[in-house]
Amino acid sequence: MSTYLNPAFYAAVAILYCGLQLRPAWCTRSAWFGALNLVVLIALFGAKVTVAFLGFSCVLWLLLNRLCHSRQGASRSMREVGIYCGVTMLFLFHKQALFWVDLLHGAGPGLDKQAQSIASFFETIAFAYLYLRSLDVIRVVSAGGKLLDPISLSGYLLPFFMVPAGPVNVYSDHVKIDLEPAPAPNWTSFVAGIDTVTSGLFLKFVVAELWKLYFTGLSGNWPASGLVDTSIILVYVYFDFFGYSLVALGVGRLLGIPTPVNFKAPFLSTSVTEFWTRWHISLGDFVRRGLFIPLQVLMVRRFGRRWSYATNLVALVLCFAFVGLWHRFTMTFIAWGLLVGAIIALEKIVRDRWAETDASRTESTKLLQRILGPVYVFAVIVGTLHLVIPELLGQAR
Amino acid sequence: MKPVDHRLILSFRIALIVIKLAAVVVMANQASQKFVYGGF
Repeated sequence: MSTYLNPAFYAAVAILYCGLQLRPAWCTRSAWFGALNLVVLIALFGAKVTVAFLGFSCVLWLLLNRLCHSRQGASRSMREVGIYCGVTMLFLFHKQALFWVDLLHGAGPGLDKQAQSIASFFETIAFAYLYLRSLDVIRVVSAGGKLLDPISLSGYLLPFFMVPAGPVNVYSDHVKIDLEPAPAPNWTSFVAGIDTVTSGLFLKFVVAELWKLYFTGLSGNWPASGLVDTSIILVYVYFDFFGYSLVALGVGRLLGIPTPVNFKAPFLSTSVTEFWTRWHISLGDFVRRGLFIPLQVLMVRRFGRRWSYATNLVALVLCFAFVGLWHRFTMTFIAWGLLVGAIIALEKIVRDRWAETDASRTESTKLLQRILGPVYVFAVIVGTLHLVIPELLGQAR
Repeated sequence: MKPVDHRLILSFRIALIVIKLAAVVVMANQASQKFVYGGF
């Protein structure tokens, strides 16, 4: 059963809503939330998974704590790179978990069972999102930001309501909850939170599922032979993912835990660049602050400001290659990421040239852009998605 | 201009919440009997 249809999930939300109001004065809000969150994780996903996840949080905290207390210099940089690499190795293991399970299959019942349980652990805790949050913590702490205690850190790394489908919350926003006074519960914000949650449930479990039922029937098998099929799947994914994100957003608002908005009418975008600032916004923001800006700064320092425009384009393409790899660690997804990155880089070149012309400033041109832009964006997104659809559906083309 | 009646807005919001929840419950009930929810 989907986590968001599980009555235990809503019982946990209600208990946490009340529990957060009973916070003792000696305990910070982030630590209190972290502790209650662990209890909920045990109730929803089991003690084994929660203890393993807490172990991960503690190890990350220990490594970052040592990093905070080390002196500036080469050894500190090496430690920082080491933490990044360690977390990335775990992420790659998560992406290839099924491969390892297959490899260990037949190596003896004990090993096989262990491999299965490790694979299910990585699947359950949605490691892809945990990885991005870990990178955000490492980036902020290594730049001199505050390191939360292990329990608070676990509350940031894996809030129970973001387990099914994100979004990627921001570490510096989570740290701020200890600096600001707790919002007093009131009827209007309570209803607004519930309204957001129910809107998400409606989009995911009514709109998206009716859309799917209409096109696939009771069999539920997606056809994926043509571009029209891909566009039908894209619309389904939009309602499905938007619905999930809204439920997480609503629960976050109810509990007073910073939860980013993930969608802002992406199909009204007039360029592919704009589309990626409206679709899965939290991932786009993460890539911008955690990868694009550091990469751009690094390349400008290395090659000089004269090459800043070219390095900007290269950084764009590399960031989208990362986005592709983050979705799936396969050549198809790298190719998809590189293609989307190249389209966005090309758009940037055309847009910069176009902005210099007089024609770009007329009202009729702007109107035409607003009408034709969304059509162009939809066509490009469907076209690029078409490349990866067979792999997503587990069909060989 | 007449002031906005917040109680009316709140009632409208609660009614919408009830309708959305009812639709989800009906779909979930149908799902358990006839089809399976799912993405990919």
